[in-house]
Amino acid sequence: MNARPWPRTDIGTVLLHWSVAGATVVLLLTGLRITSDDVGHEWLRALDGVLMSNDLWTRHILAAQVLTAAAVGYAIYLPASRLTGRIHVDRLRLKGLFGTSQTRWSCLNALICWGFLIAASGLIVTGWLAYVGAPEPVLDLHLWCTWAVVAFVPLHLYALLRLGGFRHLARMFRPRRLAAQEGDLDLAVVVSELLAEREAARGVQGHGHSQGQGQGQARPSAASAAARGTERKR
Amino acid sequence: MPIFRSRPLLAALVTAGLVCGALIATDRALGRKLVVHAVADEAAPVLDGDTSDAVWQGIAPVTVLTAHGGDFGGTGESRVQVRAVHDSRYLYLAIVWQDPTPSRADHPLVRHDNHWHLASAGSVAGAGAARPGTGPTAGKAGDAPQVDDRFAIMLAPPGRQLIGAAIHLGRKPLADAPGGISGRGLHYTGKGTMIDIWQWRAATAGLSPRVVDSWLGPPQPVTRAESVHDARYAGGLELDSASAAVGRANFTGGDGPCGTVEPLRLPLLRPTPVSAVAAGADPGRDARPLPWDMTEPYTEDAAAGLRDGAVLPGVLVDDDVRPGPDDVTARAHWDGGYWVLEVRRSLAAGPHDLPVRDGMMMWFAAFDHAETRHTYHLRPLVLELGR
Repeated sequence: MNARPWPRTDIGTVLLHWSVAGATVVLLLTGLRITSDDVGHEWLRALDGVLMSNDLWTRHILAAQVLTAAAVGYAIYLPASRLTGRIHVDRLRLKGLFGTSQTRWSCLNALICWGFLIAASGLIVTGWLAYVGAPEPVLDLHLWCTWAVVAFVPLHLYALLRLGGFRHLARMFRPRRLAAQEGDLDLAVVVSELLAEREAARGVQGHGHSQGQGQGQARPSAASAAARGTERKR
Repeated sequence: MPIFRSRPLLAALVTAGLVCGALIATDRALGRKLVVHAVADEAAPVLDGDTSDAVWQGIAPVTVLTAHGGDFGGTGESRVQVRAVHDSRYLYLAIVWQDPTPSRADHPLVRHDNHWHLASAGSVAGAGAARPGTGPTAGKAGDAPQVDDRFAIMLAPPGRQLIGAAIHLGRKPLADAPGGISGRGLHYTGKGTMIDIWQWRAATAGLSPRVVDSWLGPPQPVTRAESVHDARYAGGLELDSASAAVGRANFTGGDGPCGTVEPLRLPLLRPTPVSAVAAGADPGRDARPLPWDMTEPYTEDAAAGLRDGAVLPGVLVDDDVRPGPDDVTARAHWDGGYWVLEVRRSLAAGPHDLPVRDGMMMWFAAFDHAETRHTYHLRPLVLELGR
């Protein structure tokens, strides 16, 4: 029997995630209906039974306000809670594409998230421009951003499944408080602690094992501090 | 900020709330007004489709981009410029909108294989019908049959400044009523709400100044004919008065497999003979509406001289009653890719009308040789009456 507890994630992420997801669903059900009435997009009427019919523009604009607000909120929340590591992409993470399955899908998911962020930003900007009367090409761009957002959903779900299976997805339904804030990692402190650990290790080798254990309990090591930093970035 | 570090979710929610508030405030601040300038009764513009009147010259037009229409040279868009004045009794609008080609014929009939058919768009040369554009919407403004240009003005009471409360898209927006004839949806409002709609039609405009005055309310009960699709169900759209309709169809049928129709009236002055068409005559003139009293009942004997290629008007204008004080009237002309329309309506509300007063919202829709597909804009112009 698997006794591992189901993973959780912070309540802020859950709240913002479902706000974005809910707004996006309403935007799609109203926006695609509006588009289905345009010349050249009649094929969307195949979704007639799914798409909304009434109060289309009111719902579309309200959902757009929610999406815009949630997007801005997310942009504030992520760095403020030091969770940018989730979508941080650098050379090291890109090298993960050629590493283990875990690092590969972690990197791919971050790239997919960036794709979504760009598409959603485009969706928001072009949507508001269209609202204030921008011409047809802006609406065309709005529709292309819509397709990118639609494509993101299965890609994101698939990446998360490959990354951690259903347990990984379940995080979004199991909120918890954000872990207590910890100070920023000071590189000088980390280096000095690493040096101290090396010195301590030499001491352990010279003076016995029990002293090293005592030091480790009294003071968190640089390695564990670095691990905390990594954890915060996940 | 310290709060960003200690309470990141609170900071995010406060910022999101501020963004929401800013969006709503900006929306209200950017709401567009249509100032209806006050003029003396004697300075009121002459309704002739010509905006050279002195009263129009000193007024800067408000421009609205309308989109999502059919054709318009393939763009689906038409920029609308509007100016407004009022005297003690009437509202006057001067409206100019882009339309590359004037289309004045509506549902003309053409003889083919000894039967009458509805002419498809562009098939009657010289009818002023659409020449399909080259863009993605070209030639799809209702495909067939041939329809005239139209322009609609919607007046609604103060409320949320956004289109859509009366637009219900889908094959069957109402569970217990038929869908729209186009399969695209229906127009109707909620209970207790009413919207005024005036539709000018190029087909009848040359013979009558009367504008089709209708209103939108809650869905009308479905008649037996509508329930079996023998008649078109129009949702909540109703004419103010049945007698207000000046255009009368000159045919019956047309929904059979062969699409043949039966003409009802024949011009006293017979349509252009085919031989004359071949010699360069303009058959398009035959497609344009005629006054009712310039026609006689159609009989096969009377039509015996008409051969394949002959054209009959699909609409006749029956307007022998002078427009009343509550009727909407207009005159227009087309020149150089623009329709120019002068409209007049009483400030006070007649039956099934809304009054023209401060805060009322107004939208515009242009039809380019299309019956139902029209341009629209999301945010209304809010009327502000000058004193």
